[in-house]
Amino acid sequence: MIPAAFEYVRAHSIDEAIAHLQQHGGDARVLAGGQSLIPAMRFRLARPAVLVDINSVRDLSYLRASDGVLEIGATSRDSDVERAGWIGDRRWSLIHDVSRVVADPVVRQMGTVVGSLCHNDPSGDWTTAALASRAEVVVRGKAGARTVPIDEFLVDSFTTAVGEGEMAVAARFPKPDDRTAGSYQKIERKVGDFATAAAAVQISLNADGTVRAAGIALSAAGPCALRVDEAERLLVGREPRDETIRAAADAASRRSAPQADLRGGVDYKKHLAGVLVARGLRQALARLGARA
Amino acid sequence: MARHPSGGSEDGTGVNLQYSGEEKIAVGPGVVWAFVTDPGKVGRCMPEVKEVAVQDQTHVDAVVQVAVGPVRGKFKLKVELLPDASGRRIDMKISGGGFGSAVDMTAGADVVDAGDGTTLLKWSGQAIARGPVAAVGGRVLDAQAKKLIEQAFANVRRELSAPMVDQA
Amino acid sequence: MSTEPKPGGSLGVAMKRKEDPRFIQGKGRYVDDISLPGMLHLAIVRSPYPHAGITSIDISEAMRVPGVRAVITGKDLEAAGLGWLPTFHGFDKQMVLAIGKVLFQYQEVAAVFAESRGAAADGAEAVHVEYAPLPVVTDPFAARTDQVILRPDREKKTNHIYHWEVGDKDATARALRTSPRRISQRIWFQRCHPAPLEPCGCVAQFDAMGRLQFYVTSQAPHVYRTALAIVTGIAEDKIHVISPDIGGGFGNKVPVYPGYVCAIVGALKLGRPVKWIESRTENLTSTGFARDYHMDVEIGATDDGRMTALHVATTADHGAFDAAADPTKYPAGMFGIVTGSYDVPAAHAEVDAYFTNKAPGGIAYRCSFRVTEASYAIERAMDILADELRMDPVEVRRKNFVRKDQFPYQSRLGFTYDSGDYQKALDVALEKIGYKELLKEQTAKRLRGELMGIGFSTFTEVVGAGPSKHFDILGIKMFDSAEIRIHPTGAGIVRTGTKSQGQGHETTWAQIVAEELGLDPQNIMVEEGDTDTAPYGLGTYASRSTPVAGGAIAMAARRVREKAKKVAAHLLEVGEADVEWQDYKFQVKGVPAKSVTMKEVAFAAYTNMSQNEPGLEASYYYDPPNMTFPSGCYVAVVDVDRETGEVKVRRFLAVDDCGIIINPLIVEGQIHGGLTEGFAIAFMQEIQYDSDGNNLNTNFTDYLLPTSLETPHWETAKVTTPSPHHPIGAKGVGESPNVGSPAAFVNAVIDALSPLGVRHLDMPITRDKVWRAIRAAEAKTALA
Repeated sequence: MIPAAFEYVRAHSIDEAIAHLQQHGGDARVLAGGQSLIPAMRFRLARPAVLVDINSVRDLSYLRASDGVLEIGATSRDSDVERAGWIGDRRWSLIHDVSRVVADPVVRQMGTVVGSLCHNDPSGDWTTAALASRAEVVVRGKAGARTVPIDEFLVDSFTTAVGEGEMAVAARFPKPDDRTAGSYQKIERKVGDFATAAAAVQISLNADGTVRAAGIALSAAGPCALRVDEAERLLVGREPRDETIRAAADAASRRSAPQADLRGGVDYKKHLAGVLVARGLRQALARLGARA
Repeated sequence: MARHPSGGSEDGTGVNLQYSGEEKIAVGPGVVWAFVTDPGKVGRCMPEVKEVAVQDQTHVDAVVQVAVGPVRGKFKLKVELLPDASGRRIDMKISGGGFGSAVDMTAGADVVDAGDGTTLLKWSGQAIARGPVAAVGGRVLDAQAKKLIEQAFANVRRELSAPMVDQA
Repeated sequence: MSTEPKPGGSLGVAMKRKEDPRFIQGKGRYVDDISLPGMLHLAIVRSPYPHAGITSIDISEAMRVPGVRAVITGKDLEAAGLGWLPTFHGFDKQMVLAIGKVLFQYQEVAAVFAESRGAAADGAEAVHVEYAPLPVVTDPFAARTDQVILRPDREKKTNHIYHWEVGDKDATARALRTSPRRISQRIWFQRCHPAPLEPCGCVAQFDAMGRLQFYVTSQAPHVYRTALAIVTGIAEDKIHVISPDIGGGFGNKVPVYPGYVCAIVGALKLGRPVKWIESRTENLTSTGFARDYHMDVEIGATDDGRMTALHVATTADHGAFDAAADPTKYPAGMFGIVTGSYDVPAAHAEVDAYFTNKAPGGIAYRCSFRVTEASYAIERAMDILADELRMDPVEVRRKNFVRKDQFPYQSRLGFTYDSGDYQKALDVALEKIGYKELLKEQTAKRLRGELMGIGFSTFTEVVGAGPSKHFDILGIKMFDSAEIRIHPTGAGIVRTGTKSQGQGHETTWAQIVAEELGLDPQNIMVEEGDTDTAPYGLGTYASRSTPVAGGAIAMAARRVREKAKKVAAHLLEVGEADVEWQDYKFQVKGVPAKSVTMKEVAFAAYTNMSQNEPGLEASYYYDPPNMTFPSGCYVAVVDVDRETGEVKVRRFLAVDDCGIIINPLIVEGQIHGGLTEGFAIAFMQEIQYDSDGNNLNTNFTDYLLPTSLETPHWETAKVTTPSPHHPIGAKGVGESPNVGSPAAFVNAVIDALSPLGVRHLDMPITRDKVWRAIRAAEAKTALA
């Protein structure tokens, strides 16, 4: 379909982009990868009066691993993460898994991690991984920058803490230690479909093999990606044995609140949430060389 | 407060949506009845309402603003009130258009005397959405529709509970 | 007959397709690439309601949108005598733009003409239609009750469109009654859609001479020309239909759509060219769908597995209009092929069709005119029979195959199968798939509770419509034609009445001509799709091109060779009777050293023809004596994940018999494409309507096309039984992989689930469906 008419401006700096957003308020939308925005515009569900293109803002295109943080700039593509030289390191296994299953290989050439977080689709992959790995989003406005923890950043379906006249400029993932591994388990009807169900898991072990920290989140399980803190608490301080894993999986299944749709019924999706959390935990532990 | 049931038919199609809930209102059933049978007052309770045009005693048109992430725009609603002769139940037919789509809703509310000078407004509704809004936005539609309907009845409660200049 | 190419020949050569360089470089010329000066754009306003009266249509706001030039409705068309157009089946008509009421969601209601695509879309949004909703009927079994009459415009006030049957009703019923064993199953082939990558569209222009130039995505340009002449009253010589490059048809581009008629009317009234290109949503929701057959299958058998009778009663859901593009005498197409590869002593097939509030169509997606439905039904039912008799599904099939010595085989449902060797194809398949080892593996896995399945589909299908005594479309017999002209320097051109939408005709037809005339296929140009220059043909669909047009090309080429022989005799200075065509040359009988090539003859035909007619060309209109009957044995091996319901296709082998193969590479392409479609249909495709008549699969988020990443690896092999009546012995292959594969996939999944007592699941086999079946079976065991 043909989008409704709109004005297009190209920003060359962050300040310029923010100035445009300030000027037009809720009538403007940021254009980075456009992989969610443009389809919404083509169906005429989204009708921004102004598109502010940030793809030429060089300051936003970076992947920086330093000071215990991986910082991803707003115009860094999914494929940049997928192909980063350091992504094979076990500590990044959750993010690595996600970067290989977001949408499809073609979309990943244009889609951005930050854009995905800002879009906050209930079935998104990056939001779920961000919750499990305790990420933060840096938001810039006229008054300066602020860092928002992901739990607060994701407000509701397609709604985040980014206000009018503001823009997210980066996502920050804490660098896990070397006794950490993760896994992203996604069931999709075909490559490119939204998740039928998905689970993000990141687990850190103590020297004695007990769990020091756990991040467990679900996608397509409610209005937003969902962190299952009950499941996390069940694991911390314990040895990750089979019964513990199953208890965590059951907690995830109970907490999951999916909608029935063409991908499956509510009972099926809740069941999958448990299955995928269990599989994710087992794979993360296997990556750590530990046995369940 | 609204209870959210199955959210769709057995096979999970999601475009046939059903809701129900209850509002405790701190005024008597007679006042509530007068309110919910007044098309202008009902029209102004629609969430994010931008325009209200009363057509006659039982018909009102309203324009509401919808904003869910990138989806923003106006929805035109045509409301028909069907008060029951018993004075205790009102049914409503609402048809809406916008975004090249059509939404048809039927709703009903029982005005129940709580016995202590307050009223229990028990409502339920059903919506059928058609077109791009349903086809593309189906995943979000349920949650959003539920929110809008809850808000509308909460607005009724708020309007009736706030001190008003004229309550005739 | 050998399948190896002869040295110097073009038959059986896997040459790369001549048309591909322009396609893969983005240099194809599709309808949407056509831009004419002053061109207007057409956008269609569509109904969100599946069944409603139209109270009013307000176009005033639309007319004020900048760039909008005109808006027309059904009333305007009715006044011009164009309110309705006849469907290809001829028994029904459909509204161009809705008149009085709408009958399916997304039905066309108004047409907006504007200066740009954007303005047309803006204009369409601004047309305000008031609807009065009516009760919705989406279930053909509910339609059957006639509680809500959908088509008051028809003479008979009923939703029942027709009853069709073939075979011996009484003998079959008797045989079923007296059979020691019986199975009966309702088997549903779900509604799906071919979703060609390029949607439908056209550009219509009345030129300075008042001729209609009509560029359109049509699989049958000549039929369009004749149909337009009849519907519009414009003389047929004043209509020029051009189908340029088409990005996939699969039957979706056979019907004449309302958008085409609106574009032509707009071009006429506004005196400017009009372009209409539909969106993906419009293609999925309003153009020719496929299938939607509810088939009640009964098989009678002896205790040791010999079939005694087959009865199939089908309820067909046609949507709001009967637009199933079938040949006139066959409202249910070739459904009579439902006896499949089996020699069944008694058979009876019947179809009852109904209107519902859904999009019209039914014949598409490589269905071969309902052969996909029939083949799926019998292949699924054979497995159910095997399950009932506790026999290996391979043995049940073998026991009932038509034997090689029975060909030409007269089936109880009216077909004369030309040739086949079903036992051989099965043996090849069993060996290549390693059946014995797979069975051992399956036994071991079952002991561990793992679900693994092996599924077969041994299908026979029927293509090549068709002989004039049986087949016609709107009365026009289903022959096809070829015109060949060889140039002085030995290059040439062949024109036919078919129209490729990706089947590779520019290469295959050149190979046939090259083979018959000893020329280089790279220098034989192929032209199709322009009704001013191509000879009359019925177009390309249902795998008819190679059987029919391929026959015409071979016969036309032989006529060219006959003429060339006269010139060759002159060059060789002998009598015509002493010249023979040998090793792709004309030589003096018994004196191979004295020869001339066709290239030399071609030159002489223009420069030194002596008393012979100058030039070198011939044409042929071919009326095939029979249909052709490709067949095959497909095997799928699957593993099912109990926890998630996921089905992984571990292996898939397709053994095909399509007769003599002209280009093996093109045949592989057809098979890979069709198998991918079968995979999609079996596991993920359905056009669903909810009980309120909403179409739930309106774009590629909800109507799924598999990507290369989840499509299985296809293994292929061939068995060849030439068609005895075809000039080259070819049968055609385009439909076979889609005809044969869905049953193989489903049979494999059911085989995997059979230890749990599951006997049948309808397609698409989704994860949710599999998981539920496993859970239900486990619950039953727990209770037992």
